[in-house]
Amino acid sequence: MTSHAAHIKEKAANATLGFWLYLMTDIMIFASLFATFVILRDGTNGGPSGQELFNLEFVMAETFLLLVSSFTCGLAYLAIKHGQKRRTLVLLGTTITLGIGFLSLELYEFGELYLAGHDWTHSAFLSAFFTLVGTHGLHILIGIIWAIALGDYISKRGTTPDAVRKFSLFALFWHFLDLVWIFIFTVVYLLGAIS
Amino acid sequence: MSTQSYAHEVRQYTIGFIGAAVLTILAYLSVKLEWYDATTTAIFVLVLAVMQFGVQVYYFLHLRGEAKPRWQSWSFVYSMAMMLIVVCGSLWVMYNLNYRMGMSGEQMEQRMLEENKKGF
Repeated sequence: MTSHAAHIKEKAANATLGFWLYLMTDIMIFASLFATFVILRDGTNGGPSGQELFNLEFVMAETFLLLVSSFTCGLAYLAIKHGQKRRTLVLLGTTITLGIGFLSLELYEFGELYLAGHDWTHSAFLSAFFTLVGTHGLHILIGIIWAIALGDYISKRGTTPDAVRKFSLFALFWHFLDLVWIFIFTVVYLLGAIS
Repeated sequence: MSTQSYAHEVRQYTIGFIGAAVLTILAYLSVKLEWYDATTTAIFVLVLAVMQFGVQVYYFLHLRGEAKPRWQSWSFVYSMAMMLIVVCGSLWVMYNLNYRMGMSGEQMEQRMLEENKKGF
């Protein structure tokens, strides 16, 4: 291995570890928001509970948009690792489109709640709900912007080792957001529909 | 790690995706069709969520095959432990608080509504 290749490999390993540690701290943010939500979920202040507000079919559509986008993101990472630029860009484009679809559905849901008078000022339950789901949505928005910038980079520079490293970090981020969504889907929506 | 063939890696991701999709659909159906009573369903969907978490971490996050000293894996284990302490600890403290005041969460909600009506 030449020293240049060794340098690139070490840079990639350090960048991955650094970004990974950021994700671990992000877990703590979501952990505290989840704890807050679960404690406050009964505090509806006489207003509607999750059971009356949430539409499970709608949330199912959101879940699948995000799950499929996580899958296409993983496939795009494999494509860029094997130097297939065109396939990478197509799959990344699919990921971005699905992500925008997810975010649009989420904003539509927030808009419906807001217009029906169930905004975050109404009860502790709704405050906790908007904070938890909104924080996740904000991460998705940042992810989409990142993915667009990444697509631009790859289309100009090609599938260089640097591009692969950058893509691997984005892929980690995007898979992480789907992991968080599993628990939002389960704890907020499914458990909300049961009780 | 890049010694594995492209087709093999794609197959790994596909297995992960199908597993996650099946677990999501199972959780949804168990709630929608009310297979079990409320408590059992709650436990069932939580178990499915943890299983799906495991599937996605295993197939999507590439924690396997990390070289020693395995910083990523160990920081992940540490974060999971901290997360459980934060979430379970908060729940424990708050339910215990309600219990010691002689109320369930719902009764506490009722009481606070009544107090609210009296004004401050």
